[in-house]
Amino acid sequence: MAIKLEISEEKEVYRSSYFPEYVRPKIYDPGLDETIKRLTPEKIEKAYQAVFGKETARIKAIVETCIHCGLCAEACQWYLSNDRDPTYAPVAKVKMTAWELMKRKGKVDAGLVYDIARIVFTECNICHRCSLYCPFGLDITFIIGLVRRFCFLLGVVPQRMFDQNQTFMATANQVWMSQSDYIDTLFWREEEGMYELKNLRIPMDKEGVEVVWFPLAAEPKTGPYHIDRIAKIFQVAGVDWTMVTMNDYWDSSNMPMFIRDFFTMQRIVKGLYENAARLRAKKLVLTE
Amino acid sequence: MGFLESVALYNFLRGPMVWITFIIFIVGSIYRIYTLINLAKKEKVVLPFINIKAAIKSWLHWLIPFASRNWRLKPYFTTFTFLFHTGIVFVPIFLYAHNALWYESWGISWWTLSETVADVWSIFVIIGCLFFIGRRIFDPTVRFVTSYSDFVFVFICLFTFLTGFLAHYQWILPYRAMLNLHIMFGEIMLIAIPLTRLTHMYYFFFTRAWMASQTAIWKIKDW
Amino acid sequence: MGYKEIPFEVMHPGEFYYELLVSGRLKIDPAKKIKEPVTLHDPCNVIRRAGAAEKFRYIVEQTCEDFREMYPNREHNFCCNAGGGLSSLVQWYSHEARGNRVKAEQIMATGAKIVIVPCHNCTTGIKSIINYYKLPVKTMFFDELLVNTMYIPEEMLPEEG
Ligand code: HEM
Ligand code: HEM
Ligand code: SF4
Ligand code: SF4
Repeated sequence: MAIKLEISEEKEVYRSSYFPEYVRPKIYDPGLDETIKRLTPEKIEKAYQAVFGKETARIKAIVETCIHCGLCAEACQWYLSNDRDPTYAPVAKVKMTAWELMKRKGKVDAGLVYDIARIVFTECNICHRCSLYCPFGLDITFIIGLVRRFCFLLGVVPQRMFDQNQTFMATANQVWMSQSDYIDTLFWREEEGMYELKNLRIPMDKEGVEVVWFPLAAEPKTGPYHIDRIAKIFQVAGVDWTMVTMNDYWDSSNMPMFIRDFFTMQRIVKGLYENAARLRAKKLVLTE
Repeated sequence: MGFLESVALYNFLRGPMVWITFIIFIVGSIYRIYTLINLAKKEKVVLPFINIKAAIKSWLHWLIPFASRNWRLKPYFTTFTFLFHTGIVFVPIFLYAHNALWYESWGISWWTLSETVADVWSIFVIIGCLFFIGRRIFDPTVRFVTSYSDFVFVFICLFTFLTGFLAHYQWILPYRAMLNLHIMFGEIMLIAIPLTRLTHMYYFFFTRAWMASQTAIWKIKDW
Repeated sequence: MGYKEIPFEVMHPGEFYYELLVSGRLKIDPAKKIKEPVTLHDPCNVIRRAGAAEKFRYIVEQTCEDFREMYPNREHNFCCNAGGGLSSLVQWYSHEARGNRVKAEQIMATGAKIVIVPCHNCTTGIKSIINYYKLPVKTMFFDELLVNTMYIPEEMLPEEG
């Protein structure tokens, strides 16, 4: 069924000065629009060198193999949804970001960095579909990820994404939730759930269990019903399970991955795993 | 015209140039493969990651027409690309005229294609090249990502086959001139393989192996 | 990521529910099965990157009577368009929804009333499509699905009052 809808909230148009084909509605995001004002050519080049400077087999193989055939285009939902706009094709995204940077050896101005950040952060979901459609199996998402890292080093990241990363750094979860709030929420859900299931329990930090369940931070915050649903299912099935409240590492969403902040990302993964190891769990169930 | 037809050029192209070509082609190819593997070794995660069984399956699926999902989604493209690639790999190896040359200089020969098969196949390759050029001009998506080098690659292939074919039938230009052109383009092509993105001939196997291993870990198929 | 030998399995709840259902620890009440047509969204992270497609289908087939596939499905699914961190970018929501018309078309083509989306991130994505294109469907998680359809033994139900 074809769906056609005419809503145009954003009337203003943004035109890239590098690629005349790249025309998009103007969307204001302080994370992109403000941060690019702080960039200097030296900073950009330094970030470029940090990410692309060292020749690595994967970058080399990907960039030197791509024969520009455009077979990956039809894999991308962005491309299909935008009436086959060439600038949404996966290979076009690589062309406008990584190739352009490599061609100019990182000597680019802030305008291009804006385009690049916009492309890699808001027009690709790292969904890997295109890799299944490229005859060479080129991992386009790997390149996009590298470019994201490049933007992150420059601080040019959509505001909300950056914000969440900061939250993670500070609280190890996505939503500024403190440990006591978290525990409170679990108790509250336990109580609520008891109206529907007798003696519902939400075990916390129990050792030697079969399953540790790590929620997503949004669950205690905005969708608390998920917690008692899970508890009910586990209780009915007779699963020996627990949730973790120790050390603040209980949020499994790991947003820092999206902007390739490797340090915070490693910290989170490590925290989660160590907690699970401490409880000698057999299985780790990350939330839906 | 005189120069193109000259025996001097012919002698040069058939003499030292052939040596240069083959040395660049073989040494360059080995160098390309070697450096890639070496680099991969340095990045410790790459080599242990490769899963040969998955890689072989993936190669087969992508080297057989219509065996992968994207080949099935694009029937025209698949037909042309397979005619083109099988032609460009097998015709020069099994061509009677080329075999005769090998025999003259080295005294070796092997199974050859019959004349009609070679002719028809060459025409397919030429059509394939025209199809690629057409795509690059008329398909907006492909046009956007096309650079001049892409045209150059296709034109090199096109001219090699076109001149070989025309030389055989001695059309348009005198035989010797056409043959000189043919040999020149053939040599350019062989030199270009290790030096440009035409290395995809080798890298295909590496990049696919990588993706296949990745998807094997993800427990899905990449075709 | 660097953790080669972790002493435990890491899994998605869907995979765990599958184990529960297959081993019979969790039973489905046939009377409670969902009657409305449902379809299933395949989240990239668990389907394309963990190969759980068949397990998810098993769960849905156990709990729903009228299950319709989207096309293309399994590892060839289209992304929800909220992946890669887009789910949190409020400024870009309509951009995001516009970028996924194919998914809306896919959902509509199945004629389903409920889209089962076993992923929080994808739910954000699918919901923004639903809102933007005004699709007559709603999303549902596996936990909701199971809580509504599972067989609860008498003695576990709370007493009246
Ligand atoms: C080292 C370089 C090469 C030399 C010395 C050479 C030489 C020749 C000669 C002598 C002929 C025969 C013309 C005739 O039948 O009278 C020929 C034909 C041909 N060659 Fe080459 N060639 C070379 C490289 C290549 C390459 C690299 C390709 C393709 C990839 C190629 C494709 C062909 C084709 C398609 C024909 C014509 C077949 C036909 O329709 O009969 N050649 N070549
Ligand atoms: C075993 C060897 C080879 C493999 C597996 C291979 C594979 C591929 C693949 C997968 C593509 C992508 C798109 C398409 O299918 O057209 C491609 C494109 C291409 N290949 Fe090859 N190739 C090989 C050898 C060669 C050789 C020897 C040449 C010529 C010297 C060549 C020239 C080209 C060209 C010009 C294209 C671009 C087509 C376009 O314009 O879209 N290939 N190759
Ligand atoms: S990984 Fe990015 S470019 Fe590739 S199909 Fe998904 S959204 Fe498109
Ligand atoms: S399908 Fe692969 S080789 Fe072709 S343009 Fe896309 S990334 Fe490059």
